[in-house]
Amino acid sequence: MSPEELIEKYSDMAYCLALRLTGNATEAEDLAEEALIKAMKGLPGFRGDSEPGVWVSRIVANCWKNQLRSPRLAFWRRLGGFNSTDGEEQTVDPPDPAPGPELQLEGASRREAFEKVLNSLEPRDRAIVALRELDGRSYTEIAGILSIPEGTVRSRLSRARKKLRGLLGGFLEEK
Amino acid sequence: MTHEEIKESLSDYFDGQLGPAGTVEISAHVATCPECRAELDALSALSAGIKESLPAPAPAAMKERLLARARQENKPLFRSATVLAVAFAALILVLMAGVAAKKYMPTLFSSVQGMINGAASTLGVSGGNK
Ligand SMILES: [Zn+2]
Repeated sequence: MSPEELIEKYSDMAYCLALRLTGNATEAEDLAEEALIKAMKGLPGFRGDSEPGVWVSRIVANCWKNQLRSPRLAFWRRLGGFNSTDGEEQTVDPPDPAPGPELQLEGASRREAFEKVLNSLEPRDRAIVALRELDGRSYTEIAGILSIPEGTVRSRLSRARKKLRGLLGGFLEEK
Repeated sequence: MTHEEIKESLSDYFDGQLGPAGTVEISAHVATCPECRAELDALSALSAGIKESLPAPAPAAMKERLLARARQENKPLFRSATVLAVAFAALILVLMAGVAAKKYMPTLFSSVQGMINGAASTLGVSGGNK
């Protein structure tokens, strides 16, 4: 796989996962870009012992964990609050700093309702849901990507789905 | 497994993440249990809704930046060879210009040398090359 193929094939996936982990378009772009640059650099050493999609996802997840650890992010987050992003790239609402139990879903479209309830999940649970529903990853793969036990993937996914269903209520049946 | 236990495993079952034995047992139960069937329907409605709303294409600008970088990364050899060749050519040019200046413009050369020596002597240093 050439670096160009890597970017063509996995940019959307990496960005989507980054978006679920950060819950914010600006940070997601940063995270996905950092991870994809790392992936390009690591490409010569990639032996293909896992599927490339899993490998890229793991790099995104690791970059995210490193960012969480770095004090730079705290500063960056504050800064990000004042940054105006151009509207067309802002596909999700910025995350609610303290998502309360009551989500304002009245008058929302089905898609908006799904976005909102998903963003009310913890980042790691959002990532589990995204890896499962969008990438169709097995529990074993998700456990490897996020470095958590498989049993945790199982129980968290089940719990997250219950929570989402509870929050969505009537939006679930709507078509 | 009891109905309650099965209900708790439906998320795994839905994902096809149970072993063959569990899958067979749950399939048999679901066939006769309306409540578990409704539960599975809800899981599939949830999954469909998430699949519709989650995908977000990578920002075009980010992809372009990365592709530009990928193209560079693709030809590092060519790039370093080009840089070396340009540097070498520039060095040759400078040397040739120096030689040509001394040969064809001796007055220019000596007047420049005079200026340098003058400046040097005002600083109290020997110009050396007299
Ligand atoms: Zn049942």
